[in-house]
Amino acid sequence: MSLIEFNDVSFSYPNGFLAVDQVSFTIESGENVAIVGQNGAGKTTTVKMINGLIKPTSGKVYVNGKDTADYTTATLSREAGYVFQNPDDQIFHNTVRKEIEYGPRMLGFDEEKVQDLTQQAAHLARVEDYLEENPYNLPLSVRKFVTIASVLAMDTEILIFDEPTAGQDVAGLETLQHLLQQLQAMGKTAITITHDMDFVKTNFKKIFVMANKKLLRQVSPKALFQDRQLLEQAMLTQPFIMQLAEEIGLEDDILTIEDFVHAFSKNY
Amino acid sequence: MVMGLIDLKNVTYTYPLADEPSIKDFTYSFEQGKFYAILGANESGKTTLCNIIRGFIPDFFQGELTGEVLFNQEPLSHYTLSELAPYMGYVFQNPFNQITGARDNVFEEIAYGLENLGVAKGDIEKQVKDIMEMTNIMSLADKNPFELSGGQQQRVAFASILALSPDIFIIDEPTSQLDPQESERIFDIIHQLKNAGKTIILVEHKIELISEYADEVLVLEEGRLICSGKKHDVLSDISLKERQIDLPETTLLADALRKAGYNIPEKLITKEEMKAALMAHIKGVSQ
Amino acid sequence: MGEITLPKNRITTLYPLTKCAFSLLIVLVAITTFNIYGKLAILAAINLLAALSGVWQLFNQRLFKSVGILIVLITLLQTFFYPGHDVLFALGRFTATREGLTFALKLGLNLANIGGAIIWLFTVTTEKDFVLALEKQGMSAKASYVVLSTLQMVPVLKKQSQLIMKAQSARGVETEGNVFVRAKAFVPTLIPLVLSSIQGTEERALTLEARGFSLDRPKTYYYDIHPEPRDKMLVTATGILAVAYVIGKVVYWLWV
Repeated sequence: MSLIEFNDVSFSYPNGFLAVDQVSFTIESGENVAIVGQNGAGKTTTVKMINGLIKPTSGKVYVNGKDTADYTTATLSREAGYVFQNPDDQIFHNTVRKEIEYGPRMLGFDEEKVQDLTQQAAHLARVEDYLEENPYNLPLSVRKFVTIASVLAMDTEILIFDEPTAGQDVAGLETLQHLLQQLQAMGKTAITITHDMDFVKTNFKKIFVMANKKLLRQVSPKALFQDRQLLEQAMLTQPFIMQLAEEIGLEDDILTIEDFVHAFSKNY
Repeated sequence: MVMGLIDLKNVTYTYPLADEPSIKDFTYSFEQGKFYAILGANESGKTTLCNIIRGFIPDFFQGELTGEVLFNQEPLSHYTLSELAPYMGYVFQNPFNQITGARDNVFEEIAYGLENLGVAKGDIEKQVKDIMEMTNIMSLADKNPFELSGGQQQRVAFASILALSPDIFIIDEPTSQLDPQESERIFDIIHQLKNAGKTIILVEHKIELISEYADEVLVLEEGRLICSGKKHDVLSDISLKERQIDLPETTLLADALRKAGYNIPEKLITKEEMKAALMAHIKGVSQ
Repeated sequence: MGEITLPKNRITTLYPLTKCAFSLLIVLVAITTFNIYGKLAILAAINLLAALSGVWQLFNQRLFKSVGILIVLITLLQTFFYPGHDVLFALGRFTATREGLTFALKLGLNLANIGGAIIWLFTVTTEKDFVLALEKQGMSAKASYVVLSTLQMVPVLKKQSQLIMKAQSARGVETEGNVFVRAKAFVPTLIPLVLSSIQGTEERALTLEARGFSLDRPKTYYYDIHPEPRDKMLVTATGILAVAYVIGKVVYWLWV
């Protein structure tokens, strides 16, 4: 069985509003997946079903062999860590250290392991310098990393990031990139929702494209950005460099500046 | 030195309890009708600078402010925060916090500032309708502002400021919480402001937008103005990359092509400019 | 606010302060009437007023939800525990006394009458109109802002707290289950709620300034209400009635 399995999953709100429509997919242990699509495409609702924040109204979701319908979110939080889009919905301690320690403590790890995990998570999210600070004295972009660290410290096999790139500067994006690489090296499974196509093209090999409450395709970045119809359906735009390459008549599989220079020097 | 609309002279500001100033010896003259973009890493002082220009510092946030801040050659401190409302609009990063809560529908929310100014009822009606059309929120008129999406709330925030028709707009990362489609709508509004000849001071990470629309670019690093000037001069400066400043893809590509031995013209920052240069090169090669 | 549309009739369209005067008169009569039949008559009168205003059902729902449960509780407790000799019936070692029941009914009717007068007022008057009328009467703009924005923020905060609860459960806080489990989850929910609303307050205060909130000049009321001539008449009449009632009451006491 795969680590995460969605079988024909739909979700409608009590008022009848359909948010996710018959989605099926599997994610294997150690995969690093991006989910893209317009707002309202059903991305957040889909990932919330992985840790049971939302239970499917029809279909089945299995995480590590567990049918999520049979478990509470608190129990599923041992399998999948979820970083909310808005850090302020999550933070409730007066120092960054206490905030990070909270998760592993709740999971009942011994003190030594709590300290180890806290240290490691703070290091990965690059918030070590802020450990004794009050999170609310830090800017929003740093608070987001505090929440990332506090979820990392729970040492779950699966990590879900909802819009981590929003409002980040160059340094913040670099930290995220490094973090995803480290998680891969540790054999973790990561799922990231993002609108940032430049971030997608450099950090993921597998992309789930969602539109209109459905999962349209699972593709590689090149396949996604070459497929005009798919881009249009999901209301996504090509990365700048690819647009430019096409406009001056270069090949259509150019994703990076290096690709561009290479193709350009081959032709001209 | 030429006197501008807003002049800052040797401004240094330290937040209460902070060890170090957030803005250090800042001198700049903002002129009427220009579009200024402020760049810099997070915590480099961009928002603080906006707060100084609008007078929130030192009026609302305490701390130590030295140097001069002049508005129309007059010290900004001669005005109260509310007195500045018809002259300087401010749009914040967080859409939700800009809903006043004083009114329970979008139309009255937008009219709220005009009510406070004592504008006649008939004029309010007309002005609010015009603004709602411009910002494309006519269909939201009867909705409760708290029940809107973040993007819609941000458009309501813009509309509420626009209703006061200030000449100066200070806009702090208006799209960082929004998705691409909603961001696009906000950019459209900012573009309309520019066309209407407003003075715009914008903090924004989305560099491609800035390279397209801004006139001047200011770069902050740890509270210091490290570079400023016409956008073509600043944004084509590849040395800023090492200082963690996001540069347009065109600048990065131009640098890579130059390193590969191509003779790319200086000061290209937009895609169209790059395309023209490359097409010229291709034409030269094929002849 | 604004969820239930008021029926438009002669009573609901009265100026808020007129309705407020009615309500105050009822409260005055209620607190000075000690006879149980008198109290019942007042309750009937309030019900009649609610029916005439076209909100009888809604009024009673609200009355029950706010003071109804309290009244039931008081009646039970006082009937059994108020010291008395006239035993009505017994349940095990507890005896219900007539004195207890009478005391409980009086207390309960007082609550229903005073509560009812106020609930009727806010069932036939929107908070928006009421606050606006007070502001025009000289209440500070700051006070009216506080009232209106608080009313608007309640549903927003409720939604926010549900979201925070979810975020906490994703970090291993058990939020599903019995009362004790949920009570334990409550504190971690409360703190981010308070902190993020404090954070928002600062920006909201600046937003208000950016809309000219503290300008010292006459404001326009885009949404406006005015007292009609009949409002003036009714308020005067209510005032005269109140004075007459007080004089009558005093005279009655002195004579009897």
